[in-house]
Amino acid sequence: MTAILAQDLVKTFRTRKGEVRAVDGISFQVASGEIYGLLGPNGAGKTTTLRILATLLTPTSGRAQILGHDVVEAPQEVRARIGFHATETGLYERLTPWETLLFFARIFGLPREEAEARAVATLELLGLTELKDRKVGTLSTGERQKLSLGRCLIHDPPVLILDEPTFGLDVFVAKTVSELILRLKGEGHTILLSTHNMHLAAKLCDRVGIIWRGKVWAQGTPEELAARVGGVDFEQVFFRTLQAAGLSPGGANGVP
Amino acid sequence: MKGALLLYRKELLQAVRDRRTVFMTLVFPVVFYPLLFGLMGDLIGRQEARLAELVPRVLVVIEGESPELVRALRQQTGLAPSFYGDLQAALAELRQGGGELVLRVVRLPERGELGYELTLYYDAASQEGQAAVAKARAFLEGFFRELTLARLAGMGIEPEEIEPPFSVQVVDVGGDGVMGRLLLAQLLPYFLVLSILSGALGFGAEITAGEKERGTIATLLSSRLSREEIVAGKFLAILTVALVSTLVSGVGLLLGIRLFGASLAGSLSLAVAGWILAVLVPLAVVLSAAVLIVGSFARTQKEASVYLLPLYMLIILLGVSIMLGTGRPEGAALAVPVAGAMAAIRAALSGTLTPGELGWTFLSSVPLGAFLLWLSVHIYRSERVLFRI
Repeated sequence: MTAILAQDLVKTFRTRKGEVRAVDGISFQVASGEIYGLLGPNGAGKTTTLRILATLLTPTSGRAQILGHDVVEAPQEVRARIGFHATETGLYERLTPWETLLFFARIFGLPREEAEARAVATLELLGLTELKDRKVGTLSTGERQKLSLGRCLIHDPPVLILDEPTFGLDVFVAKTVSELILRLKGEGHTILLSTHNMHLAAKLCDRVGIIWRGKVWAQGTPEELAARVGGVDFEQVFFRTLQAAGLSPGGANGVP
Repeated sequence: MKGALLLYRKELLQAVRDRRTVFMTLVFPVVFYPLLFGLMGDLIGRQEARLAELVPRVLVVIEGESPELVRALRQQTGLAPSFYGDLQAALAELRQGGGELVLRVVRLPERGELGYELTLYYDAASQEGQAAVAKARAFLEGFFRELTLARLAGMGIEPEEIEPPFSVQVVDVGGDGVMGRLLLAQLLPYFLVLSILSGALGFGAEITAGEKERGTIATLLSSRLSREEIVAGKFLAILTVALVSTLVSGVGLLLGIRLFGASLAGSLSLAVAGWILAVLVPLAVVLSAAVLIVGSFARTQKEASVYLLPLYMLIILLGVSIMLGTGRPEGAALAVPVAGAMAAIRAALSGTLTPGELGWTFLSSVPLGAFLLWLSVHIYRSERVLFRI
């Protein structure tokens, strides 16, 4: 069953310098229980695509659905079924982790008792129970990142949309977050994530879409993509895929 | 030192390339302060001219026979006398706004031609009353000078300059707390309105532009909360902080006046406080909604503060104009947002605000507040504003 559908998505922005085509006809599907990664450098169009799927932006053209609900026509239905994690942790500094989780549980419509039960379970899952009454502003980067992911999970959404979930994290925290993402997949969540980290994409994703300048140039399992261009590691796969499409993302020096 | 200079040059370069800093540092002061002092000078000048032209209505009570004084009062043009047979009736008329001054004259024939006991009753909190006292004194001084000169001439003496032998007792009928009432009437409208904004500004910028700056806005927008719910929640939070700030400022101001030494007895009754609240709440709605809009439009809290500064300065300008203003705005003039509310609070403090006038302030504040809230929802639907690039 298709959990996430993006079909010919286009998003243009008008700026002082003219029109910018941030997303230029992107199409992909994510099956239920799958981890799909949008892999590309900064400015490739990953965040804009995820924001469209999270109902924050309206596509200029094309269609996007979450579990059969159109992001434009039924945004509230979509919001009820997703947990969206932006690149920033998106937390309120003066609230505690307990208050944070309870707040998000309540605004997703959970009754008080259920919200509290979910908050207890989520804190336990994240290993943050001991810190539940400290102000978010006093937590470490890793603790904040975990709490931010917990906030996305609090209403138990079937689909998670994670924008650069390990961005700016040290290797220890990044490993913890990666493990958490795999665990969530094991629990049946469908996960769409964006990253510019080749190794993370290869490690976590069932399928990967290579995105650059608003287009998906190739998609498949990491193994399929590697076989297609004869890459040894995923970094080579990325550059050779774009080179095969007639692009030169490495600049004047070409592909490594 | 070289390093410090390098850093200094870099900081200055950043400053001159920041249009907001350039505007606030170089443009704003040379526009705002001339405007502020120009307005103040104009208002003070108008006030002085109005009081100079004022022909005070003097309620005259004469006990005994004094045909000379009655004739002199009728012949002069600087005062508008009307004659009463009873002091209490004249004082009642004064309190109802039927005049600026009561002049009580008690003729004491046993003391000769200059045997007069003179008393002026007025409301010391009224600028018109103060002007009327000055004009009545000038009239009486002239009257007694003429009377004295005539008597001396009868005795064959013709002095060049005399100081007429008369004294006037002045009584404030406004009751206790003249200074308190004066301060209240002058300062309370200004500070109360300013405190709405000062309470709303920082907090409002934090929960609107701050959401963008922290990156929490995406989290909130992807939740199940509708845009209307987000706007309503934020608006109510700003409004609450603004009203609490206003209430605390009001209490602080009253404490300050009391500590200053002026009695506030009778200055601020519960009824007056109720009137003021009825004016302030709709105004707080307008200002809170304005802060919400500006904060939601700005990308950062700093940007929001810069955008909100002109609103703050506008309140100061309006406050000054109301404090020094000529006359009392009435009717539809009270529908001018912010300025009308300040004038209405001043009228409430002087006990002259009518339900109709309160209606005018509502008429401006409520639809304007509703419009601004509608605009806020529009902003929260606009991805161009929320995710400005």
